[in-house]
Amino acid sequence: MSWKFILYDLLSYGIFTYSVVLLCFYIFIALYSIGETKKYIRQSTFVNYNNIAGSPHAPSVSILAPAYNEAATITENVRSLLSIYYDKMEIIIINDGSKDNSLQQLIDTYDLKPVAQYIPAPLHTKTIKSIYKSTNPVFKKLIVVDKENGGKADALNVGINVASNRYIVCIDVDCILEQDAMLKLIKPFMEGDGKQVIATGGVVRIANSCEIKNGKIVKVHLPKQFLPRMQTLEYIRAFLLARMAWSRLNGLLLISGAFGAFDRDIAIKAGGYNHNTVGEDMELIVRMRRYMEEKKIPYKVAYIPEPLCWTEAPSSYKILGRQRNRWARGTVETLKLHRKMFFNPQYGLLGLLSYPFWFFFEMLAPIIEFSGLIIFFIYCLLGIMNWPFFFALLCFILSFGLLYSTFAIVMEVMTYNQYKEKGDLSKLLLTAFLEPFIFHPFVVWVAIKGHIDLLRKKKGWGDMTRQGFQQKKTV
Amino acid sequence: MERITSMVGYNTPLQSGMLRISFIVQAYHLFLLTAFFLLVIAFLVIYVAVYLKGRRKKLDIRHRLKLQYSDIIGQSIIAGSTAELNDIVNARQGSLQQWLTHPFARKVFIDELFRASKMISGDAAGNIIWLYNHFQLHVYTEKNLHSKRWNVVAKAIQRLAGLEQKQLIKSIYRFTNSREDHIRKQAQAAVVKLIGFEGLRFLGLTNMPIGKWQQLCLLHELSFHTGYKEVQLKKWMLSPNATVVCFALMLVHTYRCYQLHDDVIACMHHTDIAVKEEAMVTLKEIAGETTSGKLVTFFCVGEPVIQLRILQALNEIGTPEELAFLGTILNHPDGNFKLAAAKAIKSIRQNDGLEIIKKNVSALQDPWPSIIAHLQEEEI
Repeated sequence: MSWKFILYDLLSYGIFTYSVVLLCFYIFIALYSIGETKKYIRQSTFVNYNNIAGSPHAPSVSILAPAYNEAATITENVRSLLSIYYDKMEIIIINDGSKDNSLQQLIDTYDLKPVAQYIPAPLHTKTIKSIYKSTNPVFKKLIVVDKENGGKADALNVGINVASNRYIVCIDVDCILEQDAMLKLIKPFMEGDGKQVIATGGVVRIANSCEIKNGKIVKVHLPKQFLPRMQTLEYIRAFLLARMAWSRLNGLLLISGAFGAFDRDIAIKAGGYNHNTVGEDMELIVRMRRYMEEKKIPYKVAYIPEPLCWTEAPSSYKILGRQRNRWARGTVETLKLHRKMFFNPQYGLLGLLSYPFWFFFEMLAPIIEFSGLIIFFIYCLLGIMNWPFFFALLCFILSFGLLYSTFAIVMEVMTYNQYKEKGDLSKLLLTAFLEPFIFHPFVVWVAIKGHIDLLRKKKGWGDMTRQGFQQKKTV
Repeated sequence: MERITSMVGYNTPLQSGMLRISFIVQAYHLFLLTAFFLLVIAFLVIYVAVYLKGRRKKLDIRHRLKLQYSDIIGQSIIAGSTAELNDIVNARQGSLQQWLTHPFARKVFIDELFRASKMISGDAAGNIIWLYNHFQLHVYTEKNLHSKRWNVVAKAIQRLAGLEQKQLIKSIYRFTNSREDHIRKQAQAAVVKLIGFEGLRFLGLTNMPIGKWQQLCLLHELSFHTGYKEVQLKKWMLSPNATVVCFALMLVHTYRCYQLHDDVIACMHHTDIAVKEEAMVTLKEIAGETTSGKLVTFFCVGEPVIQLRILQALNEIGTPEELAFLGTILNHPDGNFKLAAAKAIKSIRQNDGLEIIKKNVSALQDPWPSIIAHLQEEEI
């Protein structure tokens, strides 16, 4: 048998096996998520969050919100945070060296004055220029930190240093939170079933086209624009299926950077956010988990399947491309930093299942897919394509993808049913049909570019311009 | 293999390789699977359509039932006597009896009664319970206690407690140590809701953890029962279940049980850090003359987190006798300890605390300029 045969067999069988394993994983994730979601919905009918909201024994929480050039919306966003339904909290806005007048707007609106405050800094960060607190007792929960520009990770580390409470909630300053989001996010920390909860996250939904009033979502609409609608479907699949299943396994490697809560002590012991990666949200969770595994402390990363946070999704290919490019780079950087865990039994499920899954089916997937596309074109050019088999395989994969998306839509309908208007479900199904032809190739392409940029040692986020919710109001 | 490759004209290694895969899975297998997936998709789409239609219909029926029930419930709330309640019920006896034979209508009625009972109190709530008892609805709710589904049992317990079915407390009590998490929590909250402090008897028996959330729920239920009653706090503080000890400390804290001060101090010897932390919080509330001195003796043997808590507690309950000890902590390598000790000194000696601190440290050496500025800011 010549090397050509060996190579061709490796290629054929390799991709085939990869595909079969991936599909089996998706089926497992879909089915495994059902039990956890069902359990959560049933139990939430018994819980009265209001009992705890005003309790003097409820844990104190520090909300950390980094801000960079947010002058257009910063005062409204902070007002929205100040109206969160939770008594024992402080809100720390970290102005990360904004070039616009974000800070001055905050100072003027909230009667801020600089205060002398000693910050024992367990995490190394860029210099803090000043700390501001309000002279108005109405805004006594608000702290604004002005610092040198250092990036989101550095800003969050400053927030961790300044925070005085046990639990920190890291959010994007322009996210809109549900009324009782904080209570639901903090509850897992208080459950106490023998495992220490080190982090919790919730579902992030797309706010594009939703009606917003006074910083609150008053009516949910399916995004009118094509790209945000695609992302809505993608988020439904990711949050309702994948993350629920991983949470049930206690193998979740990612909590959305838009809204997540952490045990401050563990975050500090793990070293805080990493400046050297653009995927700092995933990297922190992986590092915190690794820390707990190495210390052999029973722990859990909890996940709330309810929509707790609404964010604006990119509506242009340019911005979406930058976002997915960053995600791809962040994934590779994180996996590279923690490669010691790869199939390492010392790390339990984390090393034997979660990490390998991310490595093979999140990081390598775009590369394998792109390679498959190149091989396809080569076969076409050489005139050796087995067309009947190709079409059969194509139909199989497309139908599986459609089935998976349909299942996710069914789960959405049977759980929180956010999209209730006539025609919404049909639009989502159509979106699922179109996704493999438009959205998915684009996402694969920008992921490949992300890998290339990483090899070229590109760092940074790029300009993630947002239009702001104000312009998206509909009547 | 060679025969097939020659038949179909695939005679290169590449083509043969592709053909090998197609022997494992052939094209028609894939088409069959595709057809299967499309069938499942069609099934799911039809299922969702039927489900949504059914849900809409159910919601519509529920809405109409609620409108009917709101009338009787609304009038019952404001009824002044049992005779008046009887008149209200008799006026609708025929239709009500008819509806309540139907399980769904009965369920909606119980839900509405439960919802109403949560929003009102006093005689009005009593009228709601009268309605519930008059139609013997507790019989149906009690049946659900024997369900195999945990959510049904938990809901039944919640309803029975919310509608004050004290006669069923024994049935509920046996769930207070259930292995099923939600049933156990509902049962514990229910017995406390029904009979107050006496319902906490399960603390002496339970070997299941009582999380912080559950502790707050129990405290919330206790808050509706007036007055503090003598319970077995001392025994609970010696429980092998650390979460029971924590809750007992929380009760001492909430109800200011000063007579249990020494028992709380004894909890500082516990192996569980959560117990020690809770004991610290409690001691701040029930501090006596000797509390701060005893806390200082625990400093040397405590974990760093407990040491810091002790310093923070001395900020509130410290006495001049601790000044010497606090002075030694000013040179601790950890900035948090320095700050906590400085705050405590300033709190004990409000007039000249800052001067004392400046005398004991190198005021120009980092981090003291920041700490002193911080303390001066607090003074303003």
